[in-house]
Amino acid sequence: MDLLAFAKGPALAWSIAVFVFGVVWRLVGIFLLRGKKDLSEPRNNASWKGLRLIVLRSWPRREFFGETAFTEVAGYVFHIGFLVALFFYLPHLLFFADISRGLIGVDFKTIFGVGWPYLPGGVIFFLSAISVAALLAVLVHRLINPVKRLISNFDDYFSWFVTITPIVTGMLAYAHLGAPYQTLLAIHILSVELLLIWFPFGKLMHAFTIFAVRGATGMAFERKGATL
Amino acid sequence: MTPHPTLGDLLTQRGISRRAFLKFCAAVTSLMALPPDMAPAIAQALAKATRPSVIWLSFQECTGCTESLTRSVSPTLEALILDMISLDYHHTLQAASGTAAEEAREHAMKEASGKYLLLVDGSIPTKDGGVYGTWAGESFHDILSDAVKGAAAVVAIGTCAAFGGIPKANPNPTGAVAVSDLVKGKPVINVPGCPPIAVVMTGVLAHYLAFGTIPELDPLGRPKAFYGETIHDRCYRRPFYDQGKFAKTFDDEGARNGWCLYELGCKGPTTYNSCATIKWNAGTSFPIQSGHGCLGCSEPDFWDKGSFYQALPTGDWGSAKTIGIAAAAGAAIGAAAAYSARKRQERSMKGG
Amino acid sequence: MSALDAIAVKVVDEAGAASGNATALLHEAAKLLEAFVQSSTPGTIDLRSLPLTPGDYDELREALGAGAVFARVDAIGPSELRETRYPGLWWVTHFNDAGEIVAELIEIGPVPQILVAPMQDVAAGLSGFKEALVDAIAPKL
Repeated sequence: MDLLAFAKGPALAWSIAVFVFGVVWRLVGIFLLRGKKDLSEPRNNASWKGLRLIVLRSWPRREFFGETAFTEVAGYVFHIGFLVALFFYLPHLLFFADISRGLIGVDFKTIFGVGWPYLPGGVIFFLSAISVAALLAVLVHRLINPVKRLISNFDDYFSWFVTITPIVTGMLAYAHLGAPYQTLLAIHILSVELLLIWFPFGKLMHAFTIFAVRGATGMAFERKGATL
Repeated sequence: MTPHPTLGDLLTQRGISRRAFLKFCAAVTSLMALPPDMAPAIAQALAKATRPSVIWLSFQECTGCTESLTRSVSPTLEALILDMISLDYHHTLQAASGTAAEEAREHAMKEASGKYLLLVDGSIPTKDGGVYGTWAGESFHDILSDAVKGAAAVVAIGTCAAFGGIPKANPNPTGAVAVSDLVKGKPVINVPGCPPIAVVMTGVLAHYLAFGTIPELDPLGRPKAFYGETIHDRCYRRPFYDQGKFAKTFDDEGARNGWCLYELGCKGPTTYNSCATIKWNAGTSFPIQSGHGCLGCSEPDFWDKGSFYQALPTGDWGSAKTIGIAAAAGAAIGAAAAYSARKRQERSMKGG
Repeated sequence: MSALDAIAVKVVDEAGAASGNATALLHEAAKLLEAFVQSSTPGTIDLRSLPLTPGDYDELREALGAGAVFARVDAIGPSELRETRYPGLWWVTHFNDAGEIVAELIEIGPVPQILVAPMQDVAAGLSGFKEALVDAIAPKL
């Protein structure tokens, strides 16, 4: 079995299984936890209004902007570029459609009649390059800023590594640069599998928890009557 | 067998002028993708070359490779090259048969011992002592081992000989193996394809004729001159791939406009061959030009690498069952973790 | 058959556009022509060495045009030699007996190489010629 067949075969099946197992474990483990009971008198009975925090926290308050602007902007640049490259590139979409058909029997097109849109490969390549630049920028910032460097741990650096590697290897595969195409493709797929395996066990889980956490915090504030 | 005359002698005998020979060399130089100013050197080398003895053994094959080679229109480049080799034995093509033919083969092998070129098409069955492929009771395995001893080099023609091909595909009931799995210690050139392009086969022979050496090979033993690039990299529909214009079915607007066939299962990106440049039937067309995706037929195990009609990124992610089991296991462990965390919480709250 | 006739067939040659490789070849040809002028060094370009679309071929033909000389050589199939509008720059197409192109070259030199009578052929022709002359006289003896 050559490297590409391994990457597309047993490695893929196992890494997806570990990903699903880990994510479900962490989410069930978190959401079944009981919060500490708040015994104080609620100032505001409409605590659901606190859900606005989900949106409000998408941009820092003016007071903190000086400190956080760089990371915030670089973060958005990375996330948008990465998510567009992941979800609007045809070969990726074919992969997801195949999984969808395998799990629930239908894909986007059969449900909605039209196919999910996608962008030309060159555009995706360009956006990936911008994402990589943003990732490098935040790493440099993390290493130079003394506070960030002090509090950074293995999770921070390894999560950064397993995120940038699929993007870079994807770009190399698209450009047929550095090795025969089949090898580049295999390495790209293996790097994605590494990301999938690490995902549930580090800070990358923020992808699933971020909105729930913001919502819970917002509701807690709202109940106390704090201004959001 | 008389001592072999040189090519130059043979051509003069057949009344082919030097001018015609030079034209032939220009064509061969172009075919082998060599710089055109090498044509005079090729002419010199070929004129002095003696016709190498060639032995062709056919094993577990469908004869498609021989068909492809002989289907090249005559009289042409290919025919001239074939004429130039001394085809001392071809199991399928030769008129002789039976013990006389086999004796002729053994005689040819002895005469040109150490110098003949061994061409093999078809894979070799090895299960149960190789009994699934025999000539007059002798297994293909033994015939090959014997023939290889005096060969200067071995050319594995077609995907079956190069990588195992159809016979090796799942479940491989006869234990079929590729030539390179059995031949050690002799140079093996793989010329895969199902079948290989005729001109590619003769191009490899032409190289050996002109230089007496093996052309530069890639990691899978294929001549880089013909297998150095993927179909995808030379496909005329590549602009459509880059622009994101794909045919979704075989008869939609995109298909009629000649758009890229990636979604319909084309394996062009992972297949190395010359179909997109040299094409088939004297440059007439190739599968993609005719509206069908590439099957990847010059790659190992292409029969087992998933459906011809499913796009490259699909098919191997596991099953709904495994994912269901993983999710259930995750839920169970998550619930257990949450339960023990809550118990700890209660204890610490009570403990104060 | 009528049901099949109802399916419209569309032939769209979007891949016929020029790819830019023709321009590269033209520049190479100009350089070789310069080398020929400076030092009498002939040169050759194999048109199969770069992938060329039909649009590229059109561009090349338009740029190079046709000149004063057209020659046809019959040797294991025809070969067509056409001087382009730039003297010394020749478009050579080698066909086999079946009319397929086996090589297409741009040659820079006084004449395309295949036009020059090889001494080997001249010598062989001469001995045949002498024999024929002897035979012509012999019956009278």
